[in-house]
Amino acid sequence: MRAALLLAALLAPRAPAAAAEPPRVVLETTLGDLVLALRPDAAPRQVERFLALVRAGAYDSVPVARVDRTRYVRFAPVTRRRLTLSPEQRALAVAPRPPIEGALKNDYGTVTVVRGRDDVDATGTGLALILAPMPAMDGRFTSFAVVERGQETLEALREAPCDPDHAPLRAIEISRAYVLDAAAASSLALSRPPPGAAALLGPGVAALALGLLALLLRPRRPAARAGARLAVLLGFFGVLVAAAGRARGSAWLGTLLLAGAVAVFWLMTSFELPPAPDAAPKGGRRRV
Amino acid sequence: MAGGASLVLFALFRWFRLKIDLSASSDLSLSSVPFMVSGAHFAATNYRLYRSRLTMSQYPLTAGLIPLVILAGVLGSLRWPQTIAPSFIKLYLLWSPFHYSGQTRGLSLIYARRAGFDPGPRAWTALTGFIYGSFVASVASADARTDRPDFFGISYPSLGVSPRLAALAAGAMWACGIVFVVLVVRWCVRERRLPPAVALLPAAAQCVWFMFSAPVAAFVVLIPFFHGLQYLLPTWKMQMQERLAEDGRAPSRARLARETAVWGAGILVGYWALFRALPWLIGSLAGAPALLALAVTLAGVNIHHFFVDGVIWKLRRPRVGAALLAPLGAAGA
Repeated sequence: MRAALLLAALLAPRAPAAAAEPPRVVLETTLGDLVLALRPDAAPRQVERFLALVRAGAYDSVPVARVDRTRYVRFAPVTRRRLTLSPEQRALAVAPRPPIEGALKNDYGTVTVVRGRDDVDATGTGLALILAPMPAMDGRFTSFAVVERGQETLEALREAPCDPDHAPLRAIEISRAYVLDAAAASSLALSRPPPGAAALLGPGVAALALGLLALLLRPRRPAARAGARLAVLLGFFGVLVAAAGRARGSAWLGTLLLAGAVAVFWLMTSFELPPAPDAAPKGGRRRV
Repeated sequence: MAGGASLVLFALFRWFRLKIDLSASSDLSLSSVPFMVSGAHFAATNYRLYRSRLTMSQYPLTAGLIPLVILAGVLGSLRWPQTIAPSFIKLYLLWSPFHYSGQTRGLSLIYARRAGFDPGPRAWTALTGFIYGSFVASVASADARTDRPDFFGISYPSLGVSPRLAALAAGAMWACGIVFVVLVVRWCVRERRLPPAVALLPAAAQCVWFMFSAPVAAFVVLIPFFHGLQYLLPTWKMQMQERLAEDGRAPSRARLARETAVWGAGILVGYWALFRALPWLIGSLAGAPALLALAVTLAGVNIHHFFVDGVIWKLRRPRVGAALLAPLGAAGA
């Protein structure tokens, strides 16, 4: 994703209509980066305010407050961030919020300003990353940007383990937010996203194939047989990690994974057998 | 007995629309009697494997290597809670009903052999199809969903299989069930006796657990409880037979009670160690949130149990077979 983000950053200013390109903001979160394409055409006053807050560094250390996997990921308002706000940042945060600008619909990947239950000072600086079409929010909250790059990060945020009240179990926050301009794009190094599940597909398939091949060769030594079975299990687990998230879109892949799981479990019922029925091993003391 | 009790309880829940409040915190449910019984059966398995150097040396890979592999899975899940943990939980949740099915089949065979009930290999094949058919049907039904269910705060993937698969598996299950019943009826006519109910109860109980218990929310807790109870009774019997045979003294009720108390206390301590101390220890050492550590440790303990259970109860081992197939009274009472 790092390469994709850099590519996006490098390509953006070179586009023919560079002057008409929307401003972009990078949110570096502890789960990876998000590049937001702002929509001044849909919400000019909100975009102006957001850019001012980002440039002032007000979004640095803002935590994720709530993860509702079927609706949105919501960040706390900047007044609830981990670092103390400077007077300048506070002044920007408590400035009167712009009126609702509802031209952009709340759909997957849009960014909306919300006032959550914990936004008691009503600054209107809390961001929500929308995870599903939310027509009920249209016209009631200002949607002002879309996630242009970093869908993996968006999904990682969606899948963050949470307590029953939807608060993340492990602190997730915006490490840094900055405006991505042409000069910065060529020199900034974007942070590396967390390791992708797809990376386990290759090793998983390799272990699975090796284990099955070893079983087909019918090794005589019990340890070799057990090792082959274990390789099959570990390989299958690698494939499960890599493919389970995608299986939801393919009934065939899901069925294949389920059939594979049953086969692996069946294989494991004979993982290890004693060398001889109830024989005392060398040096071992028989108790019964 | 446990299977029959579960059927009675299921009927009571359905007819009288009884409800148990499952909205209590995970801590409370961990302390509940059903969870303790379920947890104790894990401890009993570990005790059977790790109680002596002899048993450990018979299964060196299961006793030594597998805990390390599973520990790696647990630590990987804590390190990458978005990548590894969901699939680790998924693996456990898929394996668990398969493991239940293995136990159901094993218990059916044991009780049938004890009672001299043998309707033939085709009948046993049909019963196996019935038992594992209920497993596939229930798993396929659950995995036809496209959302991501939660397990102690960890969202794990559904496989998104075709809903037809669940229907197909259910059809195969009922077909196998009908074949089994026909073959049992033929055996009854030939032998001029009724089949022993105890041999049929485990499969019937599993069918109810997997296929019909969804509307009764309490069975989320009660199924592992009855599974644990089913397991503990033969394990206790085998343990008592071995203990009473070790010293060669004549068995007595007092001695049986004493040995039972010692064994029971031991597996309760084991339950506490596996489900209280271990998650806390692993979570503390890894610096992980308590709920996340509990979820993945619980999955790890279960997966370890599936490995151990798969090897230590092989009936082909003469000592295991002799102990399990002997009448219950042979426990020494």
